[in-house]
Amino acid sequence: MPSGKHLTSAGLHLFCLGMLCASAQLMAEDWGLAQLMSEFASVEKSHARFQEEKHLAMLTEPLQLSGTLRYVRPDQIEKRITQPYTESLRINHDRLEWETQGRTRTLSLRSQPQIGALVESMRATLAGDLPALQRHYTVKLAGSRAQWAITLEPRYEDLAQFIEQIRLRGLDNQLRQVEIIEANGNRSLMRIEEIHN
Amino acid sequence: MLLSIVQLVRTPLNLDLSGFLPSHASASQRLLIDQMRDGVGGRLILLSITGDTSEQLARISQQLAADLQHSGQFSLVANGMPLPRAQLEWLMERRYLLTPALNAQSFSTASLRQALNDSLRLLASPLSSVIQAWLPRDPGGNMLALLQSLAGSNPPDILHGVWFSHDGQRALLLAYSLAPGMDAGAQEQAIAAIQHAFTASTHAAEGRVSPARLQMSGAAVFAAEARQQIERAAQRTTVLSIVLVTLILLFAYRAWKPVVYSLIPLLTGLLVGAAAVGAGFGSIHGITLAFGALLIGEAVDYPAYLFTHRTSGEALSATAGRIRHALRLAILTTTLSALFMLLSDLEGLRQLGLLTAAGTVAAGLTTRWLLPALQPGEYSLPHLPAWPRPPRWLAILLLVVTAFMLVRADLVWDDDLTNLSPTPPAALAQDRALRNELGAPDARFVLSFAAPTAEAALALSEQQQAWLESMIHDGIITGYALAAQSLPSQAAQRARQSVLPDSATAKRNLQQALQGLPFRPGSFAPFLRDIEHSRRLPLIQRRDLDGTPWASRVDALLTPGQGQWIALAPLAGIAQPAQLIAAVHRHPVSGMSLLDIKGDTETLLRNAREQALILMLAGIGTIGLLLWFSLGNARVATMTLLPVLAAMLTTTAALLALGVRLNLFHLISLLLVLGIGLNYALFFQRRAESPESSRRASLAVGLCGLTSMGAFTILTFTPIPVLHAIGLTVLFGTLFSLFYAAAWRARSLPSKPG
Repeated sequence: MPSGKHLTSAGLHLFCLGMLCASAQLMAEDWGLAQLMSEFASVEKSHARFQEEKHLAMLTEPLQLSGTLRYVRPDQIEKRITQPYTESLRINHDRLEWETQGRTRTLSLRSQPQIGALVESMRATLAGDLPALQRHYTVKLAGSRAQWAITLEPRYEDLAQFIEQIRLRGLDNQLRQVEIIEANGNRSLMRIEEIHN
Repeated sequence: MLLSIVQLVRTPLNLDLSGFLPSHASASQRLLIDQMRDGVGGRLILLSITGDTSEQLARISQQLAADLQHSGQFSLVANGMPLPRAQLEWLMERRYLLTPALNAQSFSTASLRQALNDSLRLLASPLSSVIQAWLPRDPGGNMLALLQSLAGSNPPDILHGVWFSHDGQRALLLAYSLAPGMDAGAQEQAIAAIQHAFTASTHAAEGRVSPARLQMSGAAVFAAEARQQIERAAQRTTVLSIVLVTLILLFAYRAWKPVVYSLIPLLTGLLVGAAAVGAGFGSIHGITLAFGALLIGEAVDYPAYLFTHRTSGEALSATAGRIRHALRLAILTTTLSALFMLLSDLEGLRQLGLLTAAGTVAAGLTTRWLLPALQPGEYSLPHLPAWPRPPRWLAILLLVVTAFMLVRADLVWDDDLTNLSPTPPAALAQDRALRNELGAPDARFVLSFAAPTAEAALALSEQQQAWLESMIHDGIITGYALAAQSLPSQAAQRARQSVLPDSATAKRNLQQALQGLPFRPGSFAPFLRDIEHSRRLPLIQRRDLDGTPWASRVDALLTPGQGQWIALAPLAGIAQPAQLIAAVHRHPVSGMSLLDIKGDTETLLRNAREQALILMLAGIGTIGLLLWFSLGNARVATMTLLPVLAAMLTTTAALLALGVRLNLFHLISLLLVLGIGLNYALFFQRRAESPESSRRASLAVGLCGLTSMGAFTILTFTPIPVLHAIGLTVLFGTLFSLFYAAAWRARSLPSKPG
């Protein structure tokens, strides 16, 4: 009987292993850009804290900024800087509102295609809008669902003169890190931590 | 006659509305009129291209702008394309001379520290990449501020490098014509050049033709369209009137000779009148000529009177002899009423007066002396029903109603020039929308700064720049343009130069300001070099602007006039005119005045209208005296004039009852009613020797009334507001003149059947 039990146990193990393999295989087949994007597309809104450092050629040490991010599907983003000063950037469709030192400036993202493309790297990712992302960048995905990395590289010359590469990292449908490498060598790194309400 | 034709061929047709602006004007009115004729607002043409992909629209915009710039017809064509590098560098080099806010504190340690801190924020902002390019030379951000002030506070969006509407559907351009706005002929050429260049630019490579459409807007465009419309309407009305009058006459006489002869005084009158205006004024206004065509209605009266009074077998000269008194009086009274218009301040009205007076005399003389020499042959008397005699009580009732209406109705005068222009409201709305998108001045409010010299005018205007900025801040205006933005006064440039620190001070202040900030050492060496360079820079003169886009802007905004110089500041985005007027009122500055082009024009038009009313009353009084003198009897003179005055009053009442807002042109038309009405009254009033002559008088007036009403009915169908107003007024006037003349006649004659 014990052998039978063993057999059963072994069978169970085998079965479980088989299941595991099958599901892993299923994941490998199913999880990809399309899956990641559709999971992002299901997010109606999100709220997060961020910390950002900007390394600029003119400066001997990086600029450190922190604050909060809010996103409402499909095209509203608010970046509110609280440290070391307060400032807010609101993106609504193709308008960028920049409120600083008591003044609000409005910018059309269409008027500023480079800034528009930069904003789009984050907006289109959060909205799960792959075609929009691919209009400006070639998109490469690496890693797993639990730890993925997207690399964006400009698809046209005008943008390439401005941006070298953008690296996005995250897990599931959460964006955890945005790194922007500009063509002039300047670099910024933003770490994002979701706030659960 | 031949002389008339020669004179006429040489007379240019003048079709703008400026002829209806006064010539005796105060200095500020003069400036206003100059602004309307030559001002920068009148030269501005707004272009909007739509109907294709944004890439194609941008390509067309670029090609169109380049073509127009090279056409030599425009001082400036703008479509939002970035300034060429050389011009950016020109501005960058002179930024400290051009910056209004520069003062002794601008380069202190504290100011520099503040500027550097702000720069750090900008480096972290979305503008980072732009800032990094300028920052080493310009940590104070003066260049960015300068570019923003030149672009205006609310520039249009940029798409594919050129201006687009906010919805991204329309590419937008601005073109300033070299020709003044009121030079309708030259403006038409400029507009044609735009149309031509646009058509050329829609032909893309590989034979593809873009379906894009061009819309043009602006005072000059509207003026050109109005000119075409008036021209067309005047031609059409004249031709239709002549045809209709000819048909009526043919129906009446049933013979061609009297009809042809009837047209002779008419055509002579038109030619002589137009030639007289050409000789007296050098050009003839389109509206004057259209009005002149109305002589048709009146000048046909004279031969009709002659032909209907001819008894069977009588020589026409004998008939003319019999009716000469009534004919002379009719001509004299009409001429007199027209002559009073010669006293008007408005050139258009003086032209009209001369045209009518000369035309009437010519038509009258032709009827009296030329027609009798021709043999009209046999013709039947007009086969028209005798003009009905309305019962006296009906006339009195109508008068009572008139009096009641005139007392009850608010007599609202309409002095809004835009209501007189044939531009449809939709086009005006589109114009406003375009101006909003482009942040272009709306051609209504202009601040003027007058001073003895150009330098002083520039100085005066730049002293008010802070106040102008405060008005933007308060939302009273959204923008303004000043010549001093690109050509500051020499004094201001010198003052700005004098606050630039020497290199040692600049270096020390900068180093202190940089303490504790993360900027790499030596980052701002270009800034120190620029300060030193700016200290020795020669001041900007007008000639230095040649070849830049700012040359034409300065010339348009800084103009000599009447022994002084005037700097102009067109204002944009005025939501509440009352707010602006109040703000200017609270801020009195010697030499500064606000031109409200719309409001001031309304004042001019109101003055002209009040003057016309006085002239009309004086005319009526003089005509009364003339009638009294000629007829030798105060009672008969009164009985002749009364029906006409009654007709004028009832006409006014009828217009008010129809909800028409009366303007200058209705008033002028009433003057025409006076002339026509007097003819009828005089023709009726002639003492009848027999029932037969009474019948003939009735026929004559009936025929005259029919032809006049025919001509004026056609005029009421034109889409031109001015011509429509004239047609409607004179149509009513003719109708009521006939009515009252017939009613009064019934009283003054023994009643006879038939």
